[in-house]
Amino acid sequence: MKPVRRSAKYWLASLFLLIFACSYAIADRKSSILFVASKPSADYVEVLNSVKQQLEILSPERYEFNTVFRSSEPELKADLAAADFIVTIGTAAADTVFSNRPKAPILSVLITENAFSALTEKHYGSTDAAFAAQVSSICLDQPVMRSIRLAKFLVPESSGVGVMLGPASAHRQAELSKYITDSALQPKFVSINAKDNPINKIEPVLSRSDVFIPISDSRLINIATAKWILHLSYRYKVPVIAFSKSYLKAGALAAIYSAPEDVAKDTVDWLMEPARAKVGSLNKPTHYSLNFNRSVAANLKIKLQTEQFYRDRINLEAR
Amino acid sequence: MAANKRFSSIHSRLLITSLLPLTLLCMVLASYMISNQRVVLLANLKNIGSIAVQQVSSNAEFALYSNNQAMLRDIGESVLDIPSVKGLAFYNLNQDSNVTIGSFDLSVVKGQEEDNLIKPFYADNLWYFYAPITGEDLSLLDYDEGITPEPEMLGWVVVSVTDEILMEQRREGIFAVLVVSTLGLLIAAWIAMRIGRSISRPLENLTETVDTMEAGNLNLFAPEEGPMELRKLASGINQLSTSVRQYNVRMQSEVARATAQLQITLIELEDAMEAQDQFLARMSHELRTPLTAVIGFSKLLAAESDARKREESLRIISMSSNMLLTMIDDILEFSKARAGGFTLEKVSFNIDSWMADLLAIHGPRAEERGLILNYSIDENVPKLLIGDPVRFTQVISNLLSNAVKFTDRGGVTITISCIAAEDKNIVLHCSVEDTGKGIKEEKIPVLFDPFSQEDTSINRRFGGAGLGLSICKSLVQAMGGEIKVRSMLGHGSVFSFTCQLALADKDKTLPQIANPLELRDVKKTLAGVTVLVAEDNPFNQKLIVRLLSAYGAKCLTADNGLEAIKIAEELHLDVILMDIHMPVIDGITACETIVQQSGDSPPIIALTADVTLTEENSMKKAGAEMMLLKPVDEDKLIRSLTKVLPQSGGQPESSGMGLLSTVVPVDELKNALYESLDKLDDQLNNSENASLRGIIHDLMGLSGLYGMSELRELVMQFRADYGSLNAEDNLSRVEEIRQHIKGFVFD
Repeated sequence: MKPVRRSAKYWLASLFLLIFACSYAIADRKSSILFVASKPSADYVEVLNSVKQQLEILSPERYEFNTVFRSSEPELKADLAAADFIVTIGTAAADTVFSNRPKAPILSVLITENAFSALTEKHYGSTDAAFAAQVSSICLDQPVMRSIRLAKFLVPESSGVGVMLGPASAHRQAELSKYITDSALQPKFVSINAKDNPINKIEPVLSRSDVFIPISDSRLINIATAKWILHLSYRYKVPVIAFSKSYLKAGALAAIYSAPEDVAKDTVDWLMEPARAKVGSLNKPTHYSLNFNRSVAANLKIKLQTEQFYRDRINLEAR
Repeated sequence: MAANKRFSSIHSRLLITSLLPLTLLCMVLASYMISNQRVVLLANLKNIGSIAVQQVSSNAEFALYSNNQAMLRDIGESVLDIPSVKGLAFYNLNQDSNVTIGSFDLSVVKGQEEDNLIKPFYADNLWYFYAPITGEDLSLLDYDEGITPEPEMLGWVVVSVTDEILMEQRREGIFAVLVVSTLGLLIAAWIAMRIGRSISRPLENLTETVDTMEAGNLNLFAPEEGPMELRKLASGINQLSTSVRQYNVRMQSEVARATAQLQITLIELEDAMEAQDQFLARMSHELRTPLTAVIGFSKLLAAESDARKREESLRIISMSSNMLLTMIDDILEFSKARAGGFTLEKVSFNIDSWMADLLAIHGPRAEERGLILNYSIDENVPKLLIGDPVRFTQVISNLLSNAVKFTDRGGVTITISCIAAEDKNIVLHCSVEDTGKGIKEEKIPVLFDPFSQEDTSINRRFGGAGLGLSICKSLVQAMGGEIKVRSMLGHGSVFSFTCQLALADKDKTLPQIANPLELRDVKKTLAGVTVLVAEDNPFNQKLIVRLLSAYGAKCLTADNGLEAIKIAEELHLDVILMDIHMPVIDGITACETIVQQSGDSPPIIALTADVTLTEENSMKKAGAEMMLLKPVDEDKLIRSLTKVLPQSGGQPESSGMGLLSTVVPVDELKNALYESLDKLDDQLNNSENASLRGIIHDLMGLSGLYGMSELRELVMQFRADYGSLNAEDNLSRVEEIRQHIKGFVFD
């Protein structure tokens, strides 16, 4: 019986060593992150590089990166299949990746909330189904509350705040109304549909507002209304607090928006918490950028402080 | 014509040249500017219209989109402030005019196709400008990946712009262009006139100056003004004028000098002509005088039967003929001298002998005039000399002849000395001094000129052609000397000359020329000599035949050259005397033929009255030994014959009685002499002295003519003495002369 025991011990020891070696090997394997960007434009590349750099700094040797831009489907499929995590940068990239429905968790950045919802419905049937498929997003839409607070700081004497809502954001009217009211301001909502004459709809509200905040909606609504909002803003001397840097440049007084570095930071934060990837979710951006059009401010005779001043106020208010 | 004349001036042409292209340029520029202005104005109008319609369309987007007619009106009225904009209308997509502002005829636009509206169009004096009004959407999303939608067409706006202002501006522009062009043209014309005048005026001044200069006033100076080229031209004209002026001065000076020279020459010519006229007159007189005597006495001779008178006539004819011959010889000598034709012999001669003969010739004449003839020759003068004794003695003879001729009392002194001697060459100084009337000082310089005598009365008194001294001068110069005269009026004259001669070598005997006077003493003959006398003139022929026959020669005659050739061919001849100018065949040809046809042709002596060297040379070239001039001098003829006849063995015998001695019978001469002596006896016996001197003169003439010098000296002595002798002595002297004649004749 003794040889039998020695053989069993030998086999157990071998098995233990094997398990140890395997676990060591598994524990030592790098996570593969696939970045899929819509286009190699400056903003997209900036987001991409910034994420990579921060990840390298925070967790050196932990990740390996693969970057593709919207390319042919067969190659992309292989990349998607090989990736441990997939980060889509841009709406088109998300559309492409979602259409392949990869098994790896997906994080979509540089995409609006409306676009994410539309794509998940398109490719997963619903946003929840997408969440179930470990599809998450950090959307571009900054919380409206920041704009409301900024409006209050910029135009302290303001009482009425005009807010434009589109079909995609109409459901938030109550929420926003509450925010505004809580800020001791009078909300003035205008809802725009695709077939409406924007001027006819916006002008009455905007002309009676002290500050106007367009809420980001569908692309169509955003494009159709932006010019007239700015036109009316100029005409009625009503400052507009916009949601994009382009809006700001076009004539808005101020804008709170997600700059590429903000998106990168939010992305890194998300990636550093792997658990968050197990369940899909739609996340508001944590980081934001605040900028002013000082020429418009001068025309509107609004004296501005530094951006940091308002940022501190907003952050303080948020706490 | 008037127009051509008007535009022919340089001023007019300059004006035309500058103004015509300028006018054309102005017209072209004005046309271009007007045309360009129209284009610019139209472009401005269109630009105004375009800007207005664009401004309206860009601003009206909001108002049209919002159908805000009040805003549209505000926008539209904002462009009505532009003067040219008359009105405008906004149209929606349904082509309905929402708003019309200002005066705008909608019907005009309504009638237009939509495509035509894109470009501005003109209707009813209005330009219409169209612009669409679009609503352009802005994508204000930061990371928008969608496609930007096309601009939305909202409607359009049409702006009407009037061209009244354009036309007004155009009119103003045209006016301005015309005014500017006219002003420019006027200024250019003014400048052109100024420039033209600045060129033409100096030119006119120059022309005027040149005209004045052309008229002869060269003291003017052309003003140096105007352009550089004209200043240079004026300077050139001034220089030319100065040159011409200087040239004129020089020319005037030259003309004055030439005129003076011409006048001098004219005077000289006149003098020469006068001298020549006088000479011709004298010649005529001198020739006519002896000719008259010859002709007259010849007639008398024919009619006279008295032998004594016939002899007298013959003597006078002979003397006159000799005078004529002397005169003609002088002329020939002078002609030779003028032609440079003196040929000097170079023979040895005894100067004493030649001078003795010369004195013997002139002595009687001097004695006849009661003059004392002195002769002295220095001891340093060699006796034997080499030269041309004939020419040497000819000069002295001429001077001596003149001295005797012009001296009434006193005497004539001949002096010969040697003033220089080197090796075998000597220079003799000869002078002939007389105590005559002398020569006026002013006449001395022209004394040696031909045809000149101190005064015409001299000729009348003394005869002569006035060539003697001129010939002397030429002869002296030919002998390498010079002739001078020194004279004091009323006291006499001294003619002196020098000549170069050579010393004769006593051991060598050069050919000597026999003194012609010596020939008379030589008894030689031409006996046995056959002479052909080829002479067409029968008288000359007869004379020569008789002359030669007297010397014993046998003469044959030929009347022309052909006969001479035939005779020379057929007969033996010792010598031929050949006249040059003969009928049938002349003497030169005949001479040539005779020499050529016969290898041993007889010597030929040419006879001619032609003194030209050309003829002499031709004759010598034809083969003649020598040439003699007519009238034939007996001595020369005989001497020449003896010279060419080698077998003659010496000088021919001369008759010693002169020319007539050979042709006049001795008995006749003797009778004539006796007759004269008888007359003398009669006169002396009858104490009639009236014709005594004439008879003595006749005796002297006959003795001289016949060459009886001793007889002549006896007669001359008698003439000098008969006045102081008594009748018996005179008769004895006559008898002495008769005896001498008898002895001379019979010997």
